Amino acid sequence: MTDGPQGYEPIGHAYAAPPVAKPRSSLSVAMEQSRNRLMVTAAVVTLAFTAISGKLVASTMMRDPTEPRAHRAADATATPVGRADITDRNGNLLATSLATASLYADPKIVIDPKEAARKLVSVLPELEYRELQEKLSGDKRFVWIKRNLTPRQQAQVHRLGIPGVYFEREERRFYPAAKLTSHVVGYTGVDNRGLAGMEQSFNKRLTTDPRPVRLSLDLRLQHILRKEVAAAMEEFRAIGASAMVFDVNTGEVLAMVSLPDFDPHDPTGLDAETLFNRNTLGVYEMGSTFKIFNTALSLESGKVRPTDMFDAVHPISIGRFTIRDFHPEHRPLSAAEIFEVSSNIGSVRMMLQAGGVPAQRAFMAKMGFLRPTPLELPENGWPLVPNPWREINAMTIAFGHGISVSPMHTVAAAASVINGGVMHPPTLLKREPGAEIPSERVMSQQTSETMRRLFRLVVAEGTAKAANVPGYVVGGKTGTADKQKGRSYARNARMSSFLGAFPMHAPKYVVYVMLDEPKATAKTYGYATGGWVAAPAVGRVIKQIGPLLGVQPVDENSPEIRSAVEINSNGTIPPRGSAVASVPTPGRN
Amino acid sequence: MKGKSALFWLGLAGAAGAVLFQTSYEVQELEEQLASVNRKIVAEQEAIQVLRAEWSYLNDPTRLETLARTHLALRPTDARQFVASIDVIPMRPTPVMAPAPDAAPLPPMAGLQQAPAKATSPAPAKTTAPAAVVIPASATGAPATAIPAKAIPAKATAGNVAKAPAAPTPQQMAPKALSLPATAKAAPAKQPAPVAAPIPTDSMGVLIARLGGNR
Repeated sequence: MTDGPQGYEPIGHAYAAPPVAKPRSSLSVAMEQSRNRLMVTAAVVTLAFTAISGKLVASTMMRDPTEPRAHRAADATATPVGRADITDRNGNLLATSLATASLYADPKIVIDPKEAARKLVSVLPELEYRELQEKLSGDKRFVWIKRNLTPRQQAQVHRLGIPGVYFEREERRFYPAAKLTSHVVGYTGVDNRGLAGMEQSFNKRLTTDPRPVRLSLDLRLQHILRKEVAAAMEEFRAIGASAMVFDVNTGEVLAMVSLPDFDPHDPTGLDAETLFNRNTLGVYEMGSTFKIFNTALSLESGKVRPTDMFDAVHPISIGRFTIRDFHPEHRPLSAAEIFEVSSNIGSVRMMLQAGGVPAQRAFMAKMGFLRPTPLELPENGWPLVPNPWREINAMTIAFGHGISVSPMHTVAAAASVINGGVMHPPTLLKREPGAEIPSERVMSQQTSETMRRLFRLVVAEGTAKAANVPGYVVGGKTGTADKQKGRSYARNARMSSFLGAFPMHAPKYVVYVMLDEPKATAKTYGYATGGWVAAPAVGRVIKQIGPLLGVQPVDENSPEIRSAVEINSNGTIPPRGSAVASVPTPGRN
Repeated sequence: MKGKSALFWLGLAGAAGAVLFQTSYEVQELEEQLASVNRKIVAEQEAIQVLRAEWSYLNDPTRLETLARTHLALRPTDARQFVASIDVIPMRPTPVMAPAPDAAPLPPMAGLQQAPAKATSPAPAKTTAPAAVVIPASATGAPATAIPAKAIPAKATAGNVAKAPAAPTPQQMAPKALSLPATAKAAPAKQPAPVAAPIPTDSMGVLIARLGGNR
């Protein structure tokens, strides 16, 4: 604004306007602006076209140059359904999905609801005419009429040609073995989502991988087991039963039956007892069957030998309890005999000599009794374990009371007692031949061998003679537990069980049967104990499954077998070769 | 010249168009065929799935057992029906004399050659020397047949076996007596109970009888 020197005011001179920049005309501003806008637009358009041409080049020249095919040939080997099959170990179907048609209607398009309803009821008589007519005259755009039609029904409805009535392809889960495997395989809901059993635990696997899931079950064994257990349940009017066949060398469950069972096609409206898997979800006081673990614990501790004598005359009193024997022998018994005649008093004394509470607790933990089994079923029960673990608890646990475990726990642990002392986690999936079997040593070979002999003693001369099957060298242990009703034990309600194994010279399989509240019959002379109700059932099962499993029958009086499985009641092992093969022991066949 | 060139290009374009048109229709038709084949494949797969389910349903062990009970004379196998080991099966005895021309042949047996009736020598598994061959002298000279029944378990002593074979008369012998197992304890005069004996044509029954299965 001031171009002249500071403080000097030009006077008398004509005012010369300072040489400022020529002001821009509005036209030039507009020109400038539009040029810039054009530049930006051109840049954007160029960018867009570059991207398009880049993509064009990439997708035509850089990629597979063939035209994308609209149609692709169907895979002839693929299953046409969205949920994989479940099969048994031999490939027999246990669960499969079938494509069915479901019938629905669009009531807006149905011209004459009355006539349509009348026609539909004529081919689908299970529908209610009035209800159907109301559905068809409603305001909705979609109503289900009937789901999962049979192919014949579908053809009949199709022939009626009712406008506004359509089919929708759906899948329906089908269980060819039905009741036989209901608790293990489980079932699905209307939307084909697994709601129980393996269907639930393998829901994701079944829907993502079309290959069938192969279970460890054998359908034939399952049938034999269910048949025999159902017969025993009926004979002794029991309210329930559970049974298993278990491979002691692989940990596979070959058969698992829980009665009462149900039809997996229609599991609605059933009581909890029926849907309940007694083998895995049910935890029970096992009674004398637990003496297996008490004896194994005592022998493994090294402080008890089979020949050691224990006082079984005087009942043990602790606090307000008195521990007695069911069939008192009124004499001192050897450790072997305590197992054979199932003496409660003797078992408690063995446990005390073997190291009491800490030894027992550590051993029970090794046997897996303090947490649920690693079985794949979602129905897996937590054992009921005393807390705190006092001496009185240890004493009752010695003969199987005061701790509740599932039959699956018992069977898996007993298998480890007789198979040489190696615990295999139980599984319901088939182990492929050659696959590594997870195992953990829980006791010495020596203890396991003595336990095998003791198992055989119980069947040969003890409480479970009824389980003997000529040729298969059965061994086992009976168990009878009084049921807890409320806060006290019921006198006349019991769980009677038998855990059998065969062949005892080289154990392969465990067969377990447990009956819930069996009633004595005249044939059992008023007894409803494990030896009278469960052992005969196990014997019948072994007789039938032995040939199926390829177990070679042996002559149990041959010297090799006798020297492998015999033990005297006083706990001594008969010396090799002392048994004269040609002279059978009296009272045996 | 210019017109000819234009005509040429026009013709080329026309021909290309026609070929394109033709190809497009062919592709469309093939796609329709493919879709129809695909539908058939899926239908077949669904049918297979249904048949597999039906097969499993019909092979349900419970159902099979009911059917076997009603229609077959078979029962579940028993432990003693199994031969404990291959060594226990006796070898077929070597012929000790020429077969008589009028002797009735043995009933046919699965897996074994048909052998003419002859005196057989029992070969217990546990004894190395074969037991004494019994050839009773009869008027016609026809050989008697002694079939050892005590094959398993090999508890029978050689003395027992030697005593066992009865000497039936030739009339009684063929063909019924051939299949009758003579037990070691049976008195020589006593005829074996005909109830236990399988009918001569029942080859499986004869085999089981020989192995002592229906003792």
